[in-house]
Order: sequence, then C-alpha cells, then structure tokens
Amino acid sequence: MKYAFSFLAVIALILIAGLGSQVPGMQYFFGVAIPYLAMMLFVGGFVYRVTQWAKSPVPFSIPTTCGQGASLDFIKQDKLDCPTKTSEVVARMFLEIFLFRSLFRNTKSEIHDGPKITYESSKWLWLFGLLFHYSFLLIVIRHMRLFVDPIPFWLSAIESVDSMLQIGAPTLYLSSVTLLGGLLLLFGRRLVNRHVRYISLNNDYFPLVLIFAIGVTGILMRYFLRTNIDIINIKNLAMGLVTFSPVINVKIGAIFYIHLFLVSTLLAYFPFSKLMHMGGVFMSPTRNMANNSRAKRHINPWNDPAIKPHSYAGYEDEFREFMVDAGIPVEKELSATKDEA
Amino acid sequence: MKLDEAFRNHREKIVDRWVDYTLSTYESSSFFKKEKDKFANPVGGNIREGLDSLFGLLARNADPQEFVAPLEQIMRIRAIQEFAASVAVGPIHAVKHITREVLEKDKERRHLVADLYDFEFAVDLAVLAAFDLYMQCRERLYQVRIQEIKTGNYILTDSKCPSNLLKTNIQESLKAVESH
Amino acid sequence: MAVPKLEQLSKSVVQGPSLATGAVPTKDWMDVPAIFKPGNYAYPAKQEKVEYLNSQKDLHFPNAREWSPEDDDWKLPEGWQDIILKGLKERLDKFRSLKIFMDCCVRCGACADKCHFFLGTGDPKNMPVLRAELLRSVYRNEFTIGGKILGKMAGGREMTVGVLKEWFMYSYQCTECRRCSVFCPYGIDTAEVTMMLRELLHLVGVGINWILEPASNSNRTGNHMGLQPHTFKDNVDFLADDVENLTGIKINHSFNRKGAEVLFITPSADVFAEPGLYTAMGYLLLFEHIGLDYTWSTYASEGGNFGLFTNNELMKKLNGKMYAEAKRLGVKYIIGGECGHMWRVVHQYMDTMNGPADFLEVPKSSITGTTFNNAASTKMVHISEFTADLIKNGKLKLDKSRNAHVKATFHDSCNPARAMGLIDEPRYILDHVLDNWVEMPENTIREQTFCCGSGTGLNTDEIMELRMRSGLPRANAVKHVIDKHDVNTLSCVCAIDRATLTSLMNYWNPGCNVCGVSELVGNALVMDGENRQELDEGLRTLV
Repeated sequence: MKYAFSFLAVIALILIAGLGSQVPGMQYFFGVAIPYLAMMLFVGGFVYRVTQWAKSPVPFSIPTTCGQGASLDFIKQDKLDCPTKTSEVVARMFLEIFLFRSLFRNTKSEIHDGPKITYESSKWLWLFGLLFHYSFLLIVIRHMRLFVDPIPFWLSAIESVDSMLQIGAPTLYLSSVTLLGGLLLLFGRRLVNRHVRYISLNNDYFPLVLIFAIGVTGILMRYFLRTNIDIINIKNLAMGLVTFSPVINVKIGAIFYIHLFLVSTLLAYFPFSKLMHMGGVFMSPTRNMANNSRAKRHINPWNDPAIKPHSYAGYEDEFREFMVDAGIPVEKELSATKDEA
Repeated sequence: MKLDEAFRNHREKIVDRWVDYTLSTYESSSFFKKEKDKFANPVGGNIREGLDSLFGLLARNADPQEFVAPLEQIMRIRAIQEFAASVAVGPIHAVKHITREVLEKDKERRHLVADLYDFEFAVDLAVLAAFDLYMQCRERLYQVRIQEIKTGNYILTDSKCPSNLLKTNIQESLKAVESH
Repeated sequence: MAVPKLEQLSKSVVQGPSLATGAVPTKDWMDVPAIFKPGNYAYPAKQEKVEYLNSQKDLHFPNAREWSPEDDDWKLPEGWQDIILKGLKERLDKFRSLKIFMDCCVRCGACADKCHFFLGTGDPKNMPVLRAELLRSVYRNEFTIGGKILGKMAGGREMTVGVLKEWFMYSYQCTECRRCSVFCPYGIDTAEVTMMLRELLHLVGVGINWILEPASNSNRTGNHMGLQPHTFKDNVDFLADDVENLTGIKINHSFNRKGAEVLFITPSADVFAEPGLYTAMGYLLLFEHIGLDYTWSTYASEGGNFGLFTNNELMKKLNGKMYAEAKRLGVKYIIGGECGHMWRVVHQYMDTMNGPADFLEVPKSSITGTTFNNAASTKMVHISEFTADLIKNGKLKLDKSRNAHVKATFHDSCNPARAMGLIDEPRYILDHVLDNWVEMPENTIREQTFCCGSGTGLNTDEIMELRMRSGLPRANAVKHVIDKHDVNTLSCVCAIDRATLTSLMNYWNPGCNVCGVSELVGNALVMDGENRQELDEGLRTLV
C-alpha cells in the first residue's frame, strides 16, 4: 500500500495549490514565494549534499573493474571497463551517465528454457529508464524558453524536433508522451515485478507519482484547460522571477498554479531524496576512479602511519630458538640474547 | 495408448504446475519461477529441467533406473536447503495429484483417470528413489566436511601446531580417502 | 476430491520447522526477524582470540565474552546503540563511498538477481539492495532530514537489537564479491556496505571465529594457519622433497634470506592445505626452472589478509608485514602468489596504507628484462603476470602433453576479476600449458564471474549447507561444461577457491578436481636434468 500513500500526498498537493491559488492575494504566495523558496531549497540543498559528499575523502582507490586491466603489453586492456588514464575514465563515465551502460550490461544470453522472458525484461529497465530520463531532460530544456528572451536558435530547433510529428494544435511534443509512458512503465514495473515491489519504499513511488502529475498538469494546461492560460503572461511571470522583479498583474488559471506548485515540490524534495543520484552518479568511487592503484600511489588523508605491524623483532624474540634450530637466519644469535639476559 | 496421448497433450500444463508447486516451497518463489535461464537462476532452472525430463520418463513407464539422473538434479539442490526430508521429497509426489486434476478437467479424457495406476506406481518408485538420493546427498555433505578436515583446510582454527599433522597423518589419510 | 488432496499434501510438506514458508513473503521485510539456528550462522569468535587482538597496539576489539547468536541476550556492552551510531557517523565522514552508496540507491532492482547468495537461498534479504537497506534504514533514521521527520514512512528505522541481529546474519552472508556493483547504474558496491557493517559489529564485540582466529594467528606467527617459523619451513621443505621425488630436481629455496632479489609471498594455505600445496610445488618448480634469486619469509608468510574482513586497522596491521619484511631483507621487489582477496588488498589498499615503498625498485624481471610498469609504485607483481611474461619471452620449456590428463575450465576469482582486472593473464598461461581448455557460460565468467560462495572468511564447516547453496551458481556453470565438454579440472588463481571449490565440487560435481594455474604450469615444465617419473596425474601423482 506504499504507492497509495504517494497518490494521496500528490492529490493533497494538487488540492492545496488548486484551491489556495484561488484565494485572493494568494497568487503571489503560489506564484512567487513558493517558487523562490523551492529554488532556494533546491540549489542550497543540492550544493549542501554535494559538498557533504565531497567532504568525506575517498580513502582508497576502489574502482570496480569490469574488464582486463592494463598490465603486460601483449595483454589487451579493456580501456572502457578498466580505465587507467583520465580520458578513459571520462569515457567510462560518459557512457555510464548518458547511456546507462551498467544497466545495459544486464544481458543474459545462454541456454534458455522456454521464452527468453528475462533477457527482455532486464533490457526493459534500461529502456524505460533511458526513455524517462531523456524525455525529462528535453522537457526541462524546452521550458528554458520561458526564462530567456530572445529565444535562442538551438532551443527553437529542439522544440521543432520534439514536435516533428505535427499532431494536433498546439502540436504535440513527443517528449510529453514518452515521459508519461516511461513513468507508467517504471511505475508498473515496481508493482508487477515482485522483488522490486518488495524492496520499494514510499520514497520510490512518490517521485514517480509527483513527476507524473507534473506531466499531466502540463499537458492539460497546454492542450485542454486553456482558460486564463496565456503564454505571454506566464513568460512575463517567469522572466520576472529570473530577473528578481516578479509581477502578477493578470489572472492566471488554477492549473498553472498547480503545475508550478508540483514543480516546486519536486525541486524542494529533490536534494533530500534518492533523486540525488543525479549528482551521486558523478561521484561514485567505483566508477570514477582509474584502475592504476599499483602504478600510482593513492593517498588516504586519514591514513595513520602509527599503525605498525607486529614487529619482526618481537616475532624473532618469540620464536628465536626454533628458528635457529631450523637453520633460519636470525638477526640476533641465541648466545647473544642469552648473554644479554 | 490413449493415455500416452493425454500425457503428450498435457505435458506442458502438468509440468508447469508441478514446477510451480515445487518452487513455491522457497521464500522468494516468484523469482525462481519466472527467471528461466539456468545460469541466472540455477535453482529454478535445474528444477524445471529435472521435473520436465522426469515427467517424460514417468509417462512412458521408463526403467526406474533412468529416474535417477533427473531426480539427482533436483534432490542435490533440495538436500542442502534447510528442508526436512519430507519437505525435500514431497513435491515429487505431487505430480500424481496434479495429473489427476488436469485429466479430470479434460472432458474427453476424464475416463483415463482410471488407467493411471501404472503411472502412479512409477511416481511412487520415483519418490522412493528421491529418498535414497536425498540421503546420499546428505551423506556426501558429511563426506565433504570430513574431507575438509583431512585436507588441512580446517586446520585454520582449533590447532596448536598443525604441521605435525602434515608430516604424519595427512598424507596417510589422503591416500585412505582417495582409495575410498 | 483431488484438489483437497494436493492441498493436504502441501500442508504436510510445507509446514514444519523449515525455511519453507510456501510463498512470497507477505510481511514487509522490516517485520521479518532474523532467526539463528544451528547451521545458519558461523560460530562467534572465541573470547581469548578477541582479547588477544584487543591487547594489540592500535587495534580495538572490545567486549570479548562467551556468547551465542542463538541466545536472546547477546551481552552487548552498555550504550551499544550509541557506539554503533557514533561508529557509523565516523565512517560516513571517512568514506565517501559509504555516503554516496547510502544516498544514491533508487531501488531499481538491477542487482537483485546478481547475488549468488540470493540465487542459492532465495532469501529476499540476500538481494544486495536489501542487504544495503539493512544499514540504509538506520542511516536514514539518524542522518537524513526526511528520515528524522518521517521515520518509517521515509524508510527509516530505529537501531534495535533485532536490526543488529539482521546485520550479523546478512553481513556474513555476503562474500564482498562485487558482482552486484558491476550491474548497478551507480556502481554501488555491496562489498563496501558489508565491510562497514562488519566494522560496526566489531565495535560491540560481534564477530566470527573463522575470521578472528586466523587474523590473530596471522598477527602473531605471520600466517593464518598459525604455523611457527620452523614448521612453515618444514612444510615448504616437505613440498620441495616431494618435487624431488617426482621429478628428480633438487629445489634450491631459502627462507628469510637477506639480499635476495625477490621476496615471494603466497597464502599460507598453499604450503599446507590440499590442493593448494600442488600449486606451491608449481611455484617451486617454476622458480627453479628460471633460476630466480628469491626467498620465502616465515615472518611475512601469509599472502591472505583476514583483516580485510574485519576492519581497516587490522587489515593495515597485517598487511604491513609485507613491506616491513621486504625492507628488512633488502629485496628489490615482491612477487605474490595466487590469491583473491590478498590481491584486492595488494592492488587497491597496500600502497595507500603502508606505502610508499621507496626502498624497493620498480619490478623488473631479471629473466626477461620486462619492467612491470603497472606495479611501478606498489612494487608487487602477480605470479600470473610474471609467468605470462616468461612464456611470452620464451623462457619456459613447456610440454603440454604432460597435462594430457587435464581437461580444464577456468574460474575467475571475484577480486582479481572485479577489483584488479586480472582476467586474461591466467588465460594466456592456460593457453600455453594445456592442449585445450574451455570457458564456462558467458554470464558466469570474467567480470560476471560467480563467487565460490565461501569467501571473506565464510569457509567454515558449520555453515556447510549455506556454502553449498551460495556456491550453486558457480557449481552449476561448472556442471554445464562437465556435461558438455567432459571437463575434469576447475582451475583458478585463488587460495580460498582452491579450498572451497574443492568442497563445492565434491558435493555438486564429484570427480572434478580443483587446481591453481601454477600447478598446471609446474606439471608442464620440462626441467634441465630432470629424472621425471611417469606422472599420470602431474604433481598429484602418488609415487
């Protein structure tokens, strides 16, 4: 029932914004105060989290090697999966971050009994994930048009590619469809796949539902609930927000405030949740380090040089007699130690 | 001979239910049931393979000696999984009931239930063989323990000066174990 | 009438005192307690071993006592929760990996079916993600804003005795093999999590004997086996005698000899336990063959490092002997024998912990002239790298037909494969000492290799069934090549593997031998002046 809680929470958020924004005078609260607060939390929280991570050192070089390392020159190194140079690490990270390479690795190709169910379903996770993340990225980029004036060429180009199917008016953005599709699939997977369901927490369902609601309200605003939705007014507000001179002098439909409130919630929630994997993936020591720890010494700032092994002298003292008997060379001969005693 | 045909027609259904039944004795049974790759899911894969080939043998009244290979594939796994002996062997039995159920639901072949005596007798033989195999696996496990002690890997702990053992006993006992 | 019968049958078989619950767990994992019973836990450390370790300078192993996991009362020290939470805080500040791994997991489930413990037991808490959640839930509750405010709603939970018991159970059902880390989109490494869990448990005196006793032996006598200097020497001499009996070659080896060019260190199991000792005979023959100027050490007579399975301080302390001895003897560099976790420590930790080894030289094979630049700083070379180089330069006289009795496959050990990238060197050697050998299925080798199931100090016999379960994925892949290609030998480059895979094969695939790659090298070597007997089974032949 964990997912039900997420639905309730998002419904509550929608009600708060939908009703609250209709109370006279509250437009500034929902249109200006909340977004500013959310942005502050997002930026502040994100920076805080990343600095918190960065404050902890990486004491040891612990890359997970996924291929042959660099050793003898006649042994072929797998430069992507077992990098030794920074450029190779960058390439590995690039593929990891932009193509989700580790998830793609999920191949199972040996003898199968019956249909190859898992082969496909393991790739599904990769596909759903990629679909969702790229759609989301595209949508964020598209929204940049609200915050810049004039709109740069590349932004318009992205938009026209995104709407190239030319369906409906205003034209349908592909990314809107793939975002919702990706979310549904990820959500469905969490419910249907028994062991993923077993490990899922509220924290896993909530962002999915929240982003889904953001997508739906955005689509509603663009295509259906268009009363009092004027892109010019919204852009004015957005430009006002980024230039720190926000004004709301016209009536904007409740659906806009709901959309904005949900986005604000996402921003505020982001740094305090698993969504921080966005930052963490760059800093994961098992992926972003070169496998060269024998060639180049890695430094551990808290290494304690005072920790010494049980000394050879202590060892010889304990076993000297046996060592001499067995003809093992010793530092101090038996007679010498006896004389001392 | 009609029974033969009934077994052929319903083989998949019966085996599927049999596998399901067997695997539902595991804590995380949904994974074991779904993942069919023998290497990605050795428990589920081997049990499916073993039961399927065992069913073929049971259905054609094969020599009970032939039961041993597929049964071993299954019992070797179940013998080390914290099951009581009855639980480990129990699912082999279930195919009797599953087959009856499946046939009874098939209106055209319902009458064949009366002819199941030979099949069920074969299942009984398989259950007995499974008990033997279970015991063999358990005994083998104790052999493995003894072997570990004899090969010196156990000496890591509980010993004062292990190399004395090496000089005298180990080589002797190794020979003994190997000739055994 | 048939339906009730089937149900009745399932009642009679499913109920009863066993793990079999009949279905997918219906309770949330947080509500399922860990229950200890004979066979599902390794014995706790003996009081005197914990006391010994605690008495050593720089080590902290408190709360030595007699206790049993089966008891309700684990005799934890006063204020143990604070100790654990303080310990966790300290480790969060010391290890970025821990912080990131606590924060980043999205529970996508990619790791779930990658763990050999999960595959063999089906216990959901053996999914790597849940193993980490055991710690993560406490972390959330204590160290995150969401967890502090929302508690269980945000996946947090209090540190209770029940949680501690879970930690003990599941951090000792993980072999730190890193297979999950390969598939994780963020590279989350359960090995790191398990290490932290074990460190935290040691803070309140919860540890297992199979790890702490070898560790304390290693500290005192230099090796896990507790072999004292004279017996260590006797064992190697004994192996040298065996080699002489078999091949007629007199082995010239030495101990603690100053001024040797190379110090050779291998896991002590190789000089003592079957079948590792054949691998050690392989080393002796190889070094004799090329006339290497090397010495063994009785002080640094252990390659393995059970400290890795306890805490950082002990790992560092035990590892320190390698450099200390290399310095004392004045060698130029170190060669390390075949071992898994030893190489994890040597490759990823040693130089950082106990370096810089500026008293040594960059390893350069005096036989081939090759400089091992990949070990330029640590100055320690893997025997497989060393041997592969010898073969490449034509310095070994090899006769593959002497391995005619062997039809081998190769098991990648977890640490060389996933924490070092030593994958193709042993294969290169196998290509040159065997007529043919075969690979196991693709998703069970190289970086996707399955653990033997008994690593990280879990190779103790009281949990034999558990070991057989966790080793099933590996054994199953071996069985495949046995059935398909008549394989009779499982080769590897790990001492723990040699011990544990032997047991695993004895149970799952009787008749399949386990050997080190260097044993196969030893078999194939054609020695000058040899007087070799008819060795049908290579170095294993009983004469």
